[in-house]
Amino acid sequence: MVDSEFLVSLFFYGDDAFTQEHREQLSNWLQQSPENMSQFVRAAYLHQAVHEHVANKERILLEESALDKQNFDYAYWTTIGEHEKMAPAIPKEESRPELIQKVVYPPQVKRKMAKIHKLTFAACAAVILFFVYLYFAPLPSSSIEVATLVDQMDVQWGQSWMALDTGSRLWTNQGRLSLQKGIINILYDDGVSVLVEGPASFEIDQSRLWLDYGRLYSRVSETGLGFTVKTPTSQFIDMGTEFGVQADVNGSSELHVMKGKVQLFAGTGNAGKFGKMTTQGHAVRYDSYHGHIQDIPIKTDAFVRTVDSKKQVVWRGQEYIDLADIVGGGNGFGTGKYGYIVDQLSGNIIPKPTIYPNNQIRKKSDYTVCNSSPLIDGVFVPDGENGPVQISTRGDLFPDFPDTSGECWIGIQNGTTHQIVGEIKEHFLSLNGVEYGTPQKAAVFLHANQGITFDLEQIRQSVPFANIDRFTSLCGLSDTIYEPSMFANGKAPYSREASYSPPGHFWVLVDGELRFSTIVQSPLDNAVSIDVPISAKDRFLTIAATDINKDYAFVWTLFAEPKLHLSNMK
Amino acid sequence: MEEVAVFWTNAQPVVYAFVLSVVPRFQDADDILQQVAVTVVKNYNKYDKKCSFVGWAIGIAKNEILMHRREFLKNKFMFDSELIEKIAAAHEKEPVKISNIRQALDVCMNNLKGRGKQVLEMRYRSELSIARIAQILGMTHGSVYVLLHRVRVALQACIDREMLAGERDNG
Repeated sequence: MVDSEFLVSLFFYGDDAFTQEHREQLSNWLQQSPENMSQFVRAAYLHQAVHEHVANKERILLEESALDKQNFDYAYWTTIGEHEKMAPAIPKEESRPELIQKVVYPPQVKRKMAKIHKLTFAACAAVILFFVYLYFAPLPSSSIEVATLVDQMDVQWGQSWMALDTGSRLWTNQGRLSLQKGIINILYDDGVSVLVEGPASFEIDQSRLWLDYGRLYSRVSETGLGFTVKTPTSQFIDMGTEFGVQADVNGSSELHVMKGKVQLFAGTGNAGKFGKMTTQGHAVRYDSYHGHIQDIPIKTDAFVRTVDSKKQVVWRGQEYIDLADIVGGGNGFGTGKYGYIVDQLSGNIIPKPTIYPNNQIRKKSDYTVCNSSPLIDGVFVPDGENGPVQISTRGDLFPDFPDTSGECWIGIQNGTTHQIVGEIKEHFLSLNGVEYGTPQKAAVFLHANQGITFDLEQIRQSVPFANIDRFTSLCGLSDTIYEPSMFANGKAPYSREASYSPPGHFWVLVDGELRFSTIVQSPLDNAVSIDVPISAKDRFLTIAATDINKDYAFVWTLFAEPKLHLSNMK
Repeated sequence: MEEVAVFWTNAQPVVYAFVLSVVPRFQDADDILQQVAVTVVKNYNKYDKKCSFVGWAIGIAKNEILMHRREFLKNKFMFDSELIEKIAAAHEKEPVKISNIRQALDVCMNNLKGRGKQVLEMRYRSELSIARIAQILGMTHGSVYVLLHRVRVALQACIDREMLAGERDNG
């Protein structure tokens, strides 16, 4: 008879040492009194707490890289632990066999079995085997339809036989799907939406998705609560939310929670897993190498949240549309080509800026429709010499542009690269010493006497998940006109010390009505902030720049970080 | 939607303690706990708010354990369903604040020294089997069990003392 308290220890630590007999003994003891049961409950809490304590301690030590080898070598025991999984089994200690004297048994009498008995025996054995099979056999796997592939964009599947058409039904036990590139949108029948971005390998299951590696974004409906994403080392259980998961091929994974809460279980092995409830605005990374979880900064625009292949829209959670990207032929979310221009003569978006010969633009007084992008209505020369200027395909006219030279050099650019023109070297323009025209600091280079109109209605349709409520930008003149190094002859046309350099006039119109106008006297002036409200009824947004007193040379006008801000994103 | 997350966060340690007191191996217990979390969230609309959430979640855990009974039978740990019911009732009746235990354990583990601490950490952290620990430390299996048992009893007594002292301090 084993001591009862020792039995409790044996239960929690025992493995094979905890026998059937021990189980019965412990069962009896537990039912003897409420105090015994209470003691057992507290032991279970201790079991849990020690496990957590040791795991936490390991995490802290690993993060601080401060292993106290004098007291206990954690790294050593980790290695031992890992090695242990592969180590050969150790024979159990066995009780020493008693000395048994050789015993001679009488020979057994050989019994003969009748044929009928043999048949009966065989039949019984077959029946028993059949029932044993039924009991232990795995449940038959069946396939059921659980989701639909509702959209895909720029997709390349791992194998041609995997290729699925939009609208295909997806079912359990379909096997691994490998997406080399592109984005697919899966809608589960219970309303859960999952966007998977290639490269990725995954498998569909009921209310669950197995992600071997890759990146996905999940948006869970009320009916889809409990939807689970499993990676080789982690499991993410949704609690009514939107979240992104990135699973690396080495087993590490990241969880980014945009809305609500997600229960994370991470880790493998007998030591169990780390459990962590991750809340909105937070992100965690499970490091499979070290076996620990750490908080990381959330990546709000790393996961594709919406895809629309018809409109070629991929939204990663950006809070604004970049108009410079649209000028480059993009959708406002980074698909535009850097350096591309809207040609003032043809209205087409082209890669290589053309240098317009003298007077060629001035003669062009009509409105030019842009056929390269549905998001751009057209371009024009804002010269009021001959009266009101047409600023949209709808025929909106603006009467207040001044009489200008009507001259400019190149088309309206996504970026700020000034081409080689005469003595001017190719270079990036800058506002108040800050260089613009990089993906991080987008800008539209729109020389004086150029205007462009964006179609807000078309842009709105491309982002049905949000409202557009403001246009903001900085505007100013490039101060590279002061830099001798930007000119082949080493002579800048103007200096900071001089009293004059050519000014520029900036304009923002909505549906032909003036919403913003300012004159910037010189590149020494601070860039001016523009903030124009946009309503749901507004159709066209126009930005333009003009010269003053027909002094057009070196009026390098920039709209820096031109953004349409999104709100009420769903 | 938020509600279920809050309820589950609070209930999880109690449910986990219950699962461990029926299925003590962490790997098995974690698999069960994960499945319970999924079931709790998916069936939250069926939860009757007049009842205890912890009790409801423990009920789900109990069903989960019984459903997978066959898998655990082989390790001889499984109690019969009547006793599992009683253990569930005991956990529901005496939910313990795990944060208090964690706090007390921090103190108690600091007081734990020597081979006892070493064996405990080898078992919990390095996942070493009793046989392996015995081999490494040159002990018999029996003496490893006895050492682990003594450590457990000492820790339990220390935690009880610390928690009692904490209650007194809080008035």
